[in-house]
Amino acid sequence: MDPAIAQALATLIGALTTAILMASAYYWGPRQRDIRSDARLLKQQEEALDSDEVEPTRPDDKKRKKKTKEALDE
Amino acid sequence: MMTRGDLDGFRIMKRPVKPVALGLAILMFTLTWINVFDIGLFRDDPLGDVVAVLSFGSFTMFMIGWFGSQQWAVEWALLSAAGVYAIRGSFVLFTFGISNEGFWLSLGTGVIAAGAFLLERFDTHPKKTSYVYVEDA
Repeated sequence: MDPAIAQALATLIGALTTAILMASAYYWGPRQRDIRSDARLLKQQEEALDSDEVEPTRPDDKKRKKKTKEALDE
Repeated sequence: MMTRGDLDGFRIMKRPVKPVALGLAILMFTLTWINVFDIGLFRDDPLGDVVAVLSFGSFTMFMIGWFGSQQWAVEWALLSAAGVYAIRGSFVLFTFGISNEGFWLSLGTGVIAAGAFLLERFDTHPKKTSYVYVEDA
């Protein structure tokens, strides 16, 4: 093979290898997965808090909500 | 704290011992040396200068990582070392063919460097989340 082409291809493969490794580590890595998962959970929690359609998770939640509303009205 | 690339229980100057990183630092210094003086595989080809610059950068990062206790520098150094060996291996492949010894040696070393980089990077130790090495008291 022509040395110039060999050098160009070698540079290309080196750059591709580095790019794939960087993508593996900085995008698909376990810590990045955790961060994305945490962000998704946080967003879900925020949406649930903002929404009025949230079902009470415990039996006394309705009672507590009522008491809080009464206290606020007073 | 230790990462997956450290030898458990070994400390030199209060720093962890990373045997793969140490070996690759020596190889990076060697590649810098032989490519600066054009006595290696690439002779006076321009790609030799590229490899010299990359391997010198990698070696410098290894030194910053060790003397400055910077985990991120070691990670970048390992990544550069993998890139250098990918360039070297593919150049040997395209120039001398698949049966050449240099290709297989470069491929093996490149895989070691890439594996060491991923092991260091994927470490999920809580103290590593700042990306800066934190030494145990």
